[in-house]
Amino acid sequence: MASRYQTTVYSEKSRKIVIKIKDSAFSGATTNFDTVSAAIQYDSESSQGMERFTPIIGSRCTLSLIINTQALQTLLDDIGNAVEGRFTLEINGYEDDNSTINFNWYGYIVTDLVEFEDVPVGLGFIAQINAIDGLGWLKTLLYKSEVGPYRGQDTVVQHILNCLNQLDFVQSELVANNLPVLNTVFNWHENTIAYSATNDFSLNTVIQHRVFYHRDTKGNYTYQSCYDILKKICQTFGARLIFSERNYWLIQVNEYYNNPSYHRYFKYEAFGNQVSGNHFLDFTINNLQNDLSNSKLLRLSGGRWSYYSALKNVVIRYNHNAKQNLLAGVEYNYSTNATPESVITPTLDASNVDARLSYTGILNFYATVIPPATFENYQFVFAVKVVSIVNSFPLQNFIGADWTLAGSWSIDKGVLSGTNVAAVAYYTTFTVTANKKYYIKIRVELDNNGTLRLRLGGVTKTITESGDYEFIITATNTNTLQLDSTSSPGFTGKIKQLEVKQESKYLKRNIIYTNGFNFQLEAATWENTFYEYEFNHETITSDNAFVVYKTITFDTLDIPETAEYVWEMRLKEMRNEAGTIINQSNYAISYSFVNNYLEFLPAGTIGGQSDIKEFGSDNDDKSSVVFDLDVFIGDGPSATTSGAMRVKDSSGVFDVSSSWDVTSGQGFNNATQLLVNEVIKGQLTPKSRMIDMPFQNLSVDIPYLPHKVIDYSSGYYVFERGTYDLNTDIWRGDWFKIEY
Amino acid sequence: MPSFTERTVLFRPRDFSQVANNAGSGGVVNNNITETVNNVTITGSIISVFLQEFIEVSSSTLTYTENNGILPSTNLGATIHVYQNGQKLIATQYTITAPDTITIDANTHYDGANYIVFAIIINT
Repeated sequence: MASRYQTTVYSEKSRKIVIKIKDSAFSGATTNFDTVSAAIQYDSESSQGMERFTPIIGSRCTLSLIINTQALQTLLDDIGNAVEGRFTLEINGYEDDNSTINFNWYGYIVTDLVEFEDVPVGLGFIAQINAIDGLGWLKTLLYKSEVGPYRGQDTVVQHILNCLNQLDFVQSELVANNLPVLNTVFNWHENTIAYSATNDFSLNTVIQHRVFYHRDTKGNYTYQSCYDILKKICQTFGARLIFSERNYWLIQVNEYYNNPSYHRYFKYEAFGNQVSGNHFLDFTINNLQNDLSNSKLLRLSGGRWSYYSALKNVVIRYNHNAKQNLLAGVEYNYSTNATPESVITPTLDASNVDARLSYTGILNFYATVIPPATFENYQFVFAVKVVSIVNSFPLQNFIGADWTLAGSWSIDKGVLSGTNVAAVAYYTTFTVTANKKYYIKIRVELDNNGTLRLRLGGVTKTITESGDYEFIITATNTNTLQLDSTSSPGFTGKIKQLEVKQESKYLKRNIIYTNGFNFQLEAATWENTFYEYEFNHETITSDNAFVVYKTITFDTLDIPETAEYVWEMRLKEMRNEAGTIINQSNYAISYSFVNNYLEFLPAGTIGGQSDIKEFGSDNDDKSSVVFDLDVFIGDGPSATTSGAMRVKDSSGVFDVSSSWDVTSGQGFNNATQLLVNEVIKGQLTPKSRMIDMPFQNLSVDIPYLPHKVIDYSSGYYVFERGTYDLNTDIWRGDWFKIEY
Repeated sequence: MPSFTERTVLFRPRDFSQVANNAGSGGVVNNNITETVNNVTITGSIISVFLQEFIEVSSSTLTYTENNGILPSTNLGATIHVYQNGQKLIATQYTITAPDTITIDANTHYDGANYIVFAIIINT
């Protein structure tokens, strides 16, 4: 991404500003251009009552440049005809010394917003180009890996970074220069973990990827845009995301009222690693109209004052969708009888002793004898494999001590990396048992044309493309899991996640035939070795007997442990009255389990299920404005819930969160109720706000930037939207007063 | 001092705002199916109907040979009908001895009578 054109201008306050038009298809010397005006405009989507908690504040830059050479005309033509994303805009604002960069802005130049006058180049004319910041660009990017949905879980910070890392300039300007990508101001903390100001729960809280995509009954995936992911995360925590100064900020809005002149924040690099050290910032910029020599801002005429009405109530619905069909789109039939689909459930929460799985499905079957075999009365015995799967070794935040690395393999910042790999890396203490199944999730980033080999128990999987993968491997020998590469060139890239699970407890219920077709149902148990849950049907006495629409429904025993579970259904055997297993090759057999519905009942009862928990708080005084929101991430209700947050305990294990508070809050509360209270407590009475209020920076070294609040008349005013004119160093925008 | 009051948490189903089959969790296979008939088996031969004629018999004992000589064994009043010269006999006018024998009551039978035995076999 090279600078194709560049200009340096100075604002009314003598601030040096460098504007670069970058072209990913250009290499060569940078040429200068002249500009007439440049302004950055910040906007936020909001509706009445919800203005203060706008989750994302995006921005765009409008640049007017003079076109008076054929080369500049060519630039315009190139921009107009380019694939979007090729041209980017970079703005650097400097301090008084003209060398220290005070703030940056980056954006993609949008072709359909390029306008220019119908005037010959020889005379010169003004063209206007627009660029949108990365947040706007993220509306077009789906939140998924290259080969399918992201698997497993990530921290709140990492989810945000997964989105931001997809932006070119994040890579070229921030990552490449080892600069932080994200700063957080996050002060909620979870009840089960002792409060510490140095503990950022946006880093210590994980969210399952499953909550961010939908899989329909035909197995198709529907993804959300990265923008929507960021929006949902921000809404869950009463936070906003904005690009300001030099990177992105995730800020819990109410923290602007919590000693903002000296407030802690946390810095994160692109891989989600926290930058060490204690970081504090004065988030305030004062406006002292009667003492301008000590003021950082000069308020100009032309603005207006107004109020936000008090909130009547706040209602937030946590959509946890407990009633989900874990077998959506899955069918079992005879054609796949030897290899039935293994459905892996989410982690099922066994903390309630009555927790169990409930199955309902429809069975159809028939059998036709194939001569010269002759028909004999028969019964089918079907078998359901229900087994918990537990860690062979846990989800890796790679630690060098756990791994044996050869050649170029290395572990840095929790990531396993290799360059032109020719040797093997393996988890040192992992032992493989032959004929057991292993369930593997791996996230791979390939940086060259090499391929990665994953070997386990005599089975090899070759990964040729970056992405998140799930493998189910039946070990044929005891060879441990090994990562290597035999391609040319060898694998160069990173393995960011790896998890290996193995089968643990099997649900057993055998059918024991006693005499002819007489049988007994054995008591059901959970076993440590392979068993299945068996069931049969009435005796079929005729060839070609079509049995249709037989509803099968049963609940499992209470599940024995909190774990993911695997579910498979198959025809185990075909019996005759003499007690002999009929050779299935003597029959044309057909069966299918359709309309399969498998639901987890965390409390063991259907009545205990719900999909939405609705939280609310009412203003004790009269008012008329309502705050109404749906969120999809929250506390529980069980470990199975896709949107259930998990927090890292002292032993490094992620447990389902139960209740939260802020430093000086009102006691621990469900996360969604806490959000409700955080919203309403700041708007129980009308709140003052500025509309189209113009402020000019008085300090070149400490300009106003939108992640900061304006300190005016003993009140803090939080940014909503506005325009920063780079020529005049004047902000004109909306701010609301925060207090509670 | 302004204040607020927390509401009681409500638990709602997903479709609470829609008119839909809200049959609850666990048993919902398909919301479009409002009634399910369970365990209906249609084979074409699951119910068999047999008829055997006994013409001008000289004995009150009739040996049934249809269905491999097997008469229904349950619900006999409904599954076996015995007619003498076209008139249906009531249950006390004959006895059934499994698997294949029908004995006409001595007060009813007379030599030279015609009998028809009608049997319904339900395979299970």
